[in-house]
Amino acid sequence: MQILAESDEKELIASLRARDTEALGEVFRRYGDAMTTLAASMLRNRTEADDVVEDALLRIHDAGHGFRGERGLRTWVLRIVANLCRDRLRRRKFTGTLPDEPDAFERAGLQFDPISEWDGALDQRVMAAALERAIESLPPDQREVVVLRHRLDLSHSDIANMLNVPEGTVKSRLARALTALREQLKGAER
Amino acid sequence: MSGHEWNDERIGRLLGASRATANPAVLARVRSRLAARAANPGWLAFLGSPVALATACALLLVSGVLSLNVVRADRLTAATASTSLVSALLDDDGTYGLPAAAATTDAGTVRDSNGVTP
Repeated sequence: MQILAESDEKELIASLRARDTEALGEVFRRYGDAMTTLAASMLRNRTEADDVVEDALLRIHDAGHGFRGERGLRTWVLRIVANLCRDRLRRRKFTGTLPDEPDAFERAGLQFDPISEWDGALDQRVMAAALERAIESLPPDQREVVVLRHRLDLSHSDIANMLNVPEGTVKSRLARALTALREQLKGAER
Repeated sequence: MSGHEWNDERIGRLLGASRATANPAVLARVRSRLAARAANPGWLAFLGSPVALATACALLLVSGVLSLNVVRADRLTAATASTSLVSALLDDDGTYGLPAAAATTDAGTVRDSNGVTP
């Protein structure tokens, strides 16, 4: 199964290198949800997140011929999305636009699926909403690693490869982010 | 909500429970943008790009600097030239078409020339 998936990915990379438009559709089918989740979690605005995914697909199409596949297609695709998000956040410092939607989930265009092993779906949603508000207050570099690790389930080494930083930096950023989240959530409860 | 311990595991699980679903309209927009690109010739696309604007600005700046230099050089040439523009246009050397000897008075002074000898 793993070998089949790898050969599939090689074929997909070969098609991307040949600038095949159908390959772009396949990238979107495979990684569209992850791309949108990353962009929405980073930008906290669904409209902007869709724009970033659109721009990312065009970049993938344009840069596909130079992609050698060393770090894996998923990592490369998410790296493009993360870079575009960072650009937007940098520009937002000057334009300062965030929708006025009070619900953190609605604002970011995220959906919450209650965890079946836990009790009280409503209570879970309230907790998750508090967590989303706390994530919004994190600096972008910490928000990025939290989302990549816990929401998209990437390993520390994949994140390090993706962000072009040492693995230790990823771990320390993650630890700082989780500490900040805990503090925020405890403060919100008081 | 109070009574829950906000530990890393709980935060991680809750984080993983929230996701976004891709919007199919995004792919449709990408395909139409790629189709529009294919329909337009490359130079037309270039004209609409920020690079074209930057190139135009650079060319304007270069041509401005060059023309300024040309004007300055011309002014310098005009200032150092020995004949005036009117003289050059009339092909006037101060003798009014007469032989140089006939143009002088008996006293040896030059007529109608403000004391300037040819």
